[in-house]
Amino acid sequence: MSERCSNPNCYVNAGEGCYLGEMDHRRCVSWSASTPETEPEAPSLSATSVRVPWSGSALGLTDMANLSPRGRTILISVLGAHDAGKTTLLTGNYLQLLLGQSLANARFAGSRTLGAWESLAAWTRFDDPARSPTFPPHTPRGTSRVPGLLHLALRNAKGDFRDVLLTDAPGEWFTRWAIKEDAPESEGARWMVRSADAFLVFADCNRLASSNPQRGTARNELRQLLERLSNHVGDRPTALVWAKNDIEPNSEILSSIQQTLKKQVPHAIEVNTSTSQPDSLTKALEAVLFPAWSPQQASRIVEPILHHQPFSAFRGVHAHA
Amino acid sequence: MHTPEIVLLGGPDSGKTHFAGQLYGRLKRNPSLLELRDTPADLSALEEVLLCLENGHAAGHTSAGTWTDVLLPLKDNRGNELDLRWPDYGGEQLRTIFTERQVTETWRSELRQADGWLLLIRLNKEITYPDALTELAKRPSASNGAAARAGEWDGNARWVELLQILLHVAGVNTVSHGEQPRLAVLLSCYDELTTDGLLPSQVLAEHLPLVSAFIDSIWKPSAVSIWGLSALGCLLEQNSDNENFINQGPEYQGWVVSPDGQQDSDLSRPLAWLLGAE
Repeated sequence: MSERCSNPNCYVNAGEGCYLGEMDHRRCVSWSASTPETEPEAPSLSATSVRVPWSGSALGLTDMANLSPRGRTILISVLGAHDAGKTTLLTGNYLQLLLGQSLANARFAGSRTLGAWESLAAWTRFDDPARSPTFPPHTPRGTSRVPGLLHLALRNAKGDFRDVLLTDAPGEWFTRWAIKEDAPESEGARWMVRSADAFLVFADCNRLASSNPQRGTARNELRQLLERLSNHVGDRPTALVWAKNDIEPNSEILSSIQQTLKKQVPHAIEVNTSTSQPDSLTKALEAVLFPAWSPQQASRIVEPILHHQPFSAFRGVHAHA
Repeated sequence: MHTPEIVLLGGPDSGKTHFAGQLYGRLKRNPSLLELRDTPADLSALEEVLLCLENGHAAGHTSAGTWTDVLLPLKDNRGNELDLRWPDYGGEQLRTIFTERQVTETWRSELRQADGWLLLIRLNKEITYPDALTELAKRPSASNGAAARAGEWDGNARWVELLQILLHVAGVNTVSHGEQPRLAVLLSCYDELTTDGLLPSQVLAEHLPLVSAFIDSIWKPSAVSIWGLSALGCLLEQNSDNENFINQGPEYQGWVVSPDGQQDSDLSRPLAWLLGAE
């Protein structure tokens, strides 16, 4: 099993199922056209068993192609500086679903990334007295240009099915992107901003608090991020998340950020989250999930009136003034 | 003649063998909705469990490599005849599907052909962490350890992933409620649980909320039913000798709780529902 399928979307060599659904991948046309790969593969896989096309880990770009035919996907970009609480929000929402809570009036209908969710949730569980439960630590800045995408399928009471993809990206990407838009290391941030259906922007109340000497830097980073985002956001749903809200941010800093938000992203809404109130984490995600649930309706095509005489009103393909 | 196929899905220690043994006793000696027309030609798969139950003790563990079935020639109360192949296997096979993320060809063809899936979940054996969030809320600023944690998966996530794999392999469309196998969830060893008069579906939602939500989202309501099952009615050990089993016979022990909360001694009712005979 040292070969790689010629189909770039196929990971049959990594233990997943054939991309084209062949039982025996050796019968697949893409496989027979493949070239041997140098990297050796360890798992022993018998040819007579069937595998599934997902691994349970966070999804990459090619995995999205597997999901998109199922229906509307909602990609939510989670933006914010390092340690602002982005992963905490994701974990909190997964834990709420585990308790049977609904999200945006819809119920859990599966996930392709349960392995990734569980590894995040494992941090919060008390299984070893020597290690107390905490929220997951820092998301490492990888070389990958696409953040790990966490997936949730939801179905609401009307039967609408949605694949929700949440980005779990390192904070450094955005700090860099806010300064220099086309910096090579912010490729991931650019992809997220280009492809997203909705945005969650994180403000870290802990860093903005009066007691924190770094509050100026934090405000600067956040304002730069908002100003950068305003170039790209269009009318996509956006929420500013005041994370770690149990700590009061400095009131002047707070109002200056609110001013920036009002000017740069006027349609954005503000939500407060705190880990001491698990509901607030769900509410923050719902704040953008609700407006993004249905695609925005296309606006009516209105033909401009160029002449007021009926004779001139006809404008064929070749008609020029 | 219609020969329906069902698959029985239950992990190790979920009570598959006891259910099979008790079901056979019911069908043959104390029938109600479903009844055996003839004595099956080959009973070797049930030999051990039947003997153990007659003597009032629990049967041993089915070994992991086992894959046998018993052909049950059944008749429902309207006189329809059907042949049912009742599978028996070591529950580790189901665990292997989850850990290795692959399904053998035997399993796949069973899953694809099946008219109904019978899912046995023993709630008391599931590991869940229902209070993780409240615990965290109490100590929000705990320091981060750097070592990665490899805890066991939550029982919710494990069942959902297993069902997703099985659904995918069986080629069931999970997005629209198209053609899908009927699903009967049996909460086995129901006598172990304190249910406070809740319906079996509410008990499932309380113990495994994510699984309950997943099943509700994927299966249309008419294609799923959730039952409580106590195949033996009480706890039997391998060295016990329960007088009721020895004197009255095992076919008078055990009960199910129907989806509407009624306790019933007819163990074949979930099966009858699955086969559309009820």
